[in-house]
Amino acid sequence: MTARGVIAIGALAIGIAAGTLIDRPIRRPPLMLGGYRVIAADFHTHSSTRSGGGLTPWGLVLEAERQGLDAISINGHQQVRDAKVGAWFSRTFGGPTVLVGQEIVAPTQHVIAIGIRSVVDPRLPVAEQADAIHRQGGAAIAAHPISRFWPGYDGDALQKLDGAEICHPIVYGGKKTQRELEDFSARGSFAAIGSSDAHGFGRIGVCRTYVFARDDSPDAIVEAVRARRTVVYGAGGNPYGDPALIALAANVPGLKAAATTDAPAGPIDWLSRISGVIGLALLVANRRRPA
Amino acid sequence: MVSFAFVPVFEWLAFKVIWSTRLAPARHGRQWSDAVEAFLDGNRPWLVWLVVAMAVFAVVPPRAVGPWVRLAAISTIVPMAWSLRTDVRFFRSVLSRSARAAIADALMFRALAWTAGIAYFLGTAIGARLGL
Repeated sequence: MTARGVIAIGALAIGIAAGTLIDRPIRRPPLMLGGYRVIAADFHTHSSTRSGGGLTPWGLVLEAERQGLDAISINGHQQVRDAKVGAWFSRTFGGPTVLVGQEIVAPTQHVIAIGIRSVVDPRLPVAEQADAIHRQGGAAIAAHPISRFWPGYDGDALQKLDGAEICHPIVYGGKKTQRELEDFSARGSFAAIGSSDAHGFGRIGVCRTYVFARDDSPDAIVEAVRARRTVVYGAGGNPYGDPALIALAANVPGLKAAATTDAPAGPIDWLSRISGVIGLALLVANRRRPA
Repeated sequence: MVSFAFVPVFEWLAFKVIWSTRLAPARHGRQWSDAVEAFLDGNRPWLVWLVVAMAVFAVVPPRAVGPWVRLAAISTIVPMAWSLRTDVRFFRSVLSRSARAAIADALMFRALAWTAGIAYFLGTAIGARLGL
């Protein structure tokens, strides 16, 4: 092996070691407000099994712990396999609550189903999708309802949806997008939902939902969403959701901070990133050119 | 890594199809294992692009990645063009193909590999659009 190859592998090893050292789960004692358990949740994530995600189902569970989330939903595109694997992993080895979910992908709109057991047919109108979700004991959430998706939601759909994403990473691209999500939310009585729609770029929990639930079980979380007991902090820290719960949440400054700020990287974090990039760059440069 | 492992798999399969069909008369005793290793070195432009993208996303905070993702998508034109040039040179210099045949080989490879990869990756969304 060349000297450059040795340096490359050494740099990668340092990057991995430093990153592993710094990536500690964030564990807080359960937060109770107003008689409810406050669950930090991300209801829209994708794993690597044909859902275009960058993390495996178990990787999402581990990353959720590192991002201080108490619950996630794993939403396969037209499938629930990943989510069931993630839920099993979390139950077996411990971790945040994992709700089995699906992103029901149709040309005119996307709907997030959480707390389901089997796939919902994407060819159904949204109102019937919501019925199918409810029959399974789940909740139906409008995914990133920007204006080009509005035609997919008729009056029946708006009545039957439980929630709508009002914070999604696209809001950080411009105020127009945040206004579109707010305009959609104003068309019905929806639980405010913040989700990362994490595929690989960005991180899970970058937008999150604070759910005021009886406990941290999947059924309790779904019940809380269907009862509209949620608080979300959008771009700029604007709060959305139940006004009484927003007032309660305001007494815990850490909730808004966790939902709206990116923790600054410390020296070990920077060492991990720089070493990793240098290691991979040297590996690519060092590849032996075949004759 | 698990998620995008389908990329080299489909590339390997597409090159196998071309090796077995169009390149049969051009092998000149070259072994399949040597040929595929040499050919897949044409992925170097994409590896360079990935390292640059990694470096950018290692420093941009998560809430500011939006414009950088768009820029990253647009910048893929560079490795696309560079790897096409590398592949054409491979077919010409390693397998002694004519200029026209080398370009056709490179385009045929892309037609196979990219179609399979896109169908696999977007299959769910495409199926939904087709009402499947």
